[in-house]
Amino acid sequence: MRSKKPTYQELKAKLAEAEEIIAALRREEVDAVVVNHHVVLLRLKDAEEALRESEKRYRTILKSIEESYYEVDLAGNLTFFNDSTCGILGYTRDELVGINNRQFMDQENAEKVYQTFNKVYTTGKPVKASDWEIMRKDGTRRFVETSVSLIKDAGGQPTGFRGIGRDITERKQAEETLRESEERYRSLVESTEDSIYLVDRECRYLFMNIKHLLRFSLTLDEVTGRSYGEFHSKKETNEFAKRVNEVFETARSLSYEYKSERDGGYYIRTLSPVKGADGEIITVTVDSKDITERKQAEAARLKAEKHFRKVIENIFKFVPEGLLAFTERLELFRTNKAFQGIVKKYSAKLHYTGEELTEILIEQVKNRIVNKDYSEIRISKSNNEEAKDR
Amino acid sequence: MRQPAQRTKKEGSGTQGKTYMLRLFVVGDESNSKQARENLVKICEEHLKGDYKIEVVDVLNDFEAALKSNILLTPALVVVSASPPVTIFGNLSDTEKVLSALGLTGGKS
Repeated sequence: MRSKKPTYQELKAKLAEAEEIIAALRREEVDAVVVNHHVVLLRLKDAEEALRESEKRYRTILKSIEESYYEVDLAGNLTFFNDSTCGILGYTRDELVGINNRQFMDQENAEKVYQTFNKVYTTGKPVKASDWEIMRKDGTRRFVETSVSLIKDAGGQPTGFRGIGRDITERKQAEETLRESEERYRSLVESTEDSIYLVDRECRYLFMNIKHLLRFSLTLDEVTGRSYGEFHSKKETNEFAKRVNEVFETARSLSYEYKSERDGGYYIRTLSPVKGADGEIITVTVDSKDITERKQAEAARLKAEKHFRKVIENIFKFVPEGLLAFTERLELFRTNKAFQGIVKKYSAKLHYTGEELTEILIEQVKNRIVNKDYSEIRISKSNNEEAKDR
Repeated sequence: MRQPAQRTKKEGSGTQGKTYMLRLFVVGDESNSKQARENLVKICEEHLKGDYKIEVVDVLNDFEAALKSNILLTPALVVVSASPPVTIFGNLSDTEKVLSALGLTGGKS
């Protein structure tokens, strides 16, 4: 059915009513709108009051927090920021208003910031950046960690970015120091010929250097978390567990020699406690030095020495000439029976006591050795009357 | 803006015995609705000398009545006794405007 065409008067009245409605809305004298069989409450004043309260609360929070809060426009010019932002950047509030982010960072970092803003602008998703380096007004450089999210207007159009930033320079430096320290430690651990590993109280491996992994023919991932007992006999495991427990109980290092059942090698193991931040022992480091070669050399030396002693023994025993044996320091350590016989035979003839003649001979021999004089030794008769009488 | 009143009265000349039928559309006890009620009663008491009848319609209870009267927002005052009925919106804090709607002044543009 076609509706009746409104008259000019009716249209004029409608227009007047529409103007009246707009005016009432502008005066904020409206409580509700009746639309589509629904009553929509408009608590404009309440909402504004709440908004004002909320803004006041947020601004108080922003003023009190240590972190920087900033808002920039799409070009990166600061539009709003809290006092902490001034503190971090080292500028006064007046100096910072409208300043572009490029003014407090070098080109490389400005490019990084641009890429981050661009990503947020394109995806609409907030991101967290942790490697921005800023330059304070006094020229010092600081690292900041910051969040970046998009600001949109009522129509949903992006108008800028906002975020919270904090100065992480000290943390970054501490991390760097720690990383360097770890690097040095790792380099030390990996450059040594010793096997080094860490175990907990239950003798589970927490770390193992490459040298020791090679002995196991396993990777670090394959070893970490597994227990000592999985790779050693029960006897070895019990012995090791006892030593580890001792370190945990006494908080002192200990060393012991150990023969591996697996490869037959000999090792000096040094177990040392590792304390946590609270002073409690958390792990034990094991430094296992391979002494197999040393052991073998020692065994060979002992064997050779034994053999040599036997040879000397036979010489002393069976050679008919008198023999004197000296140490490197020319200390007499042995004579043979033939020598003793010579002393006995000639001491009376030469009017010496046995001790006197022995002493004279030793002195003579020593002099010859020192002077490399290998001529005969001649002993004259003694004037010792007492000896003569005997 | 308002519709021109049918009755032409000089300001302060009284109601000449006519009873004004007024319908005030409100929503609950919201601030503007509450103010509109108070303002309307005050104006009526001062200027209509008892020759009026106010019907308050709470659209939360009876929005059909609002639809029938083409009331799109509240508070709204409909001077039912005028022909055609006159509607003004807001909390009726502008007394001159209300009087104009009632045909008791020359009205504002």
